[in-house]
Amino acid sequence: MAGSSLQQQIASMRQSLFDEGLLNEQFIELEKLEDASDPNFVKNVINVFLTDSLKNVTGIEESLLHLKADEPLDITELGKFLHRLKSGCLGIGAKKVPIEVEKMLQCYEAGDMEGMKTILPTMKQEYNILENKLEAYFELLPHIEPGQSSDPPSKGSTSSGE
Amino acid sequence: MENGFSSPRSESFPAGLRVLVVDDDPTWLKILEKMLKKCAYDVTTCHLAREALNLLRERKDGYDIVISDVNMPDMDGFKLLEHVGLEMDLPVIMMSVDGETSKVMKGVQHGACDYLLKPIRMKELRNIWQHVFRKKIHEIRDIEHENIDIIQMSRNGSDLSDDGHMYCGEDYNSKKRKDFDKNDDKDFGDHSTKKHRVVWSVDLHQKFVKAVNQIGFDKVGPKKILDLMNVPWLTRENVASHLQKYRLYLSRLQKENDLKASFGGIKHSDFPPKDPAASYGHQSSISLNQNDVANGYQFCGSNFIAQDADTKNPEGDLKIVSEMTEIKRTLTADVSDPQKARSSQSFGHSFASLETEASYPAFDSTNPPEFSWSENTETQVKKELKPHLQLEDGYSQLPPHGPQHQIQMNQLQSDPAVTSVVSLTGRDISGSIEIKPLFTEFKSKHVSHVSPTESAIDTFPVQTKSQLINHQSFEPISTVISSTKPQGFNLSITDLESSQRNLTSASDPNFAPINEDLTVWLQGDYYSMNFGQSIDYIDYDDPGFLAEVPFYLYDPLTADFQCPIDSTTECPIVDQGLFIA
Repeated sequence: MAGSSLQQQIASMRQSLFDEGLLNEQFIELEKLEDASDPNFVKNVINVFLTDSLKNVTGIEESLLHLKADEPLDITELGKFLHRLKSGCLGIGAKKVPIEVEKMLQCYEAGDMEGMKTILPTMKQEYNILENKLEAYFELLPHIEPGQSSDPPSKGSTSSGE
Repeated sequence: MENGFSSPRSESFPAGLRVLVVDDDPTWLKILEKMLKKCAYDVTTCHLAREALNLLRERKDGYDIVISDVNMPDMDGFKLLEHVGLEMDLPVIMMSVDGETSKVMKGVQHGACDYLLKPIRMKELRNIWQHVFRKKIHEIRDIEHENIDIIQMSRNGSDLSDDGHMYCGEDYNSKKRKDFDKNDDKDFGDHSTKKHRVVWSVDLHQKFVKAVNQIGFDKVGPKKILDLMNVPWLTRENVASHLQKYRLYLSRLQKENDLKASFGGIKHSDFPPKDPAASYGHQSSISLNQNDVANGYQFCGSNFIAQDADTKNPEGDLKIVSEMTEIKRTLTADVSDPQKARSSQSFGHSFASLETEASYPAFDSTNPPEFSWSENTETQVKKELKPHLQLEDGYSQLPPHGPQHQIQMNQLQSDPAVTSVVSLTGRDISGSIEIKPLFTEFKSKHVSHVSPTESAIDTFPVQTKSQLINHQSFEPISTVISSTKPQGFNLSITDLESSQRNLTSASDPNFAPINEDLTVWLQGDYYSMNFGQSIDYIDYDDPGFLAEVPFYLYDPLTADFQCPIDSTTECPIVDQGLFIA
């Protein structure tokens, strides 16, 4: 199947996700959950995450910037978006994004709209970075057949089908 | 133990544990589903609280445990928690990204058995089965405890040490405490309403029950109850948790009733079967109302509210209505022990527990045969016990005189709620007996006083008869009975004490202390009593009473105790929930 170079590529990409502080051990936990019967579990979860979090980020942005001028600003909705985004990030093990989201939440609790607006670009940026990296990583993954899974960075061999 | 659980379908508990996961975050829903499946649990997911409630309601027995996030779009997670606790009595685990102490505390207050912080690891989920297990154990233990208490009570009858009673009560109480959140155990006199430490006094509980009845048990909700109760300092939260307990109590009774029903030993024909909730809800005045019981005894499930009405009816005529006979039967079956009386609080329950505990310590010399019998015929006994217990409870707690006592009879026989209305027609009984929802036993903690009113002996004897019969301590009873009660007992149970006193005095010096014990005990432990056991003051059942017990009552082993009591003794059947205020 895929040559070792691809696997190495995958492995190193994966490793970089950690190295760059984008992901933490929670992601590894997810990987552990994957098994032969559900080899694409992590990928599925990430997809769900990306879809959902995109909605949340968009919602946050729209709320804050009041982009939808025809609708009144719904502060509670904003809060919900923030919470959801944070929750999702924690679920997949994202590290940087939730930090920004947490900052925004604190502003939210304090009623500091301006503060939130300030943090928003950073948060978005982090999110985009994460999103791109994850997508790139998982694009490589389909090459892993059922029965195999991505190896931890240390092992560059074929997946052990955990 | 798993067999004892209603849920685990699988033999290899906890595998197959049925978990319902509620989270609006799809990422987590997926993750949790996977994690739980890896634990070999049976997972159902939904992302809306309403959806979850629907699922739960549709399949009342379909899940073992619920895991829910705190932040939900359509309903506050705590509210869901409350609902689940109240309606389904399932363990609920809360989750959140927010681990703030106040939130965690809130979760616990609302009844969560655990509070997990996201990100959640699989190892945290592996152990959730312990919550299910624990709950079951506690329930069983509570029942058993009450039984033990009852036994001890009766045994201590002779010594009548408050200690004994208190011990039992407390012990039980503490156990109970474990189960419920602290709301239950109220500190007496602590009316810091805003806090969860509300003292659910008898009066308060009565109001609560009344409100519940008014609303209709099915439609009940904390807000409605709160509004009806019109207690300014009471918070919705207080009511909610109390309601939760109440439901637990009811369902517990129901389970026991179901069990008992299966035994079929008891003829509950006389008792209008009520469904547990209902019976609790309303004063199921089972035909016992025959007596114009002057006193209103409120027997709430396990709570006997012995209002020290002025039914000083030392020699009250205890008219035992037919229900009584049933009760008696059960009593004989099992509750021969005054201990049972102790668990007046939960007659029904106590019965159940009694049965299980059939191995009562020698109740008093007279036990052995009966006890063993009861053990053997557990089922039968159970059934019988139930009513019996109730009866006992009612009686023992209610002093024979005490017209105002409202005895709420739980229908022991018919269903879990067994509310037997004991119409205390004691001479003194001037009150009206109301059958209070057994739930009072919940609050039995507040059995405030069993003020010994002298009258009760008569009434008690009747009870005791039944009780005694069960207790098997027939011998002593005879003495007592003869001396104390005339045929028609008016169980004016003004308070247990008095009755006890009367009883004991009448029957047997040994029993004298019982009253005190009861009182003490009652006060202490109502809560711990768990609903089923209530008959704590089995002391009443002291044998002394038995003597007089008409034979019809005395049919220890045979379930068919047709008590012609109606004719002779109309004993208001005190419901287990004798709430002694």
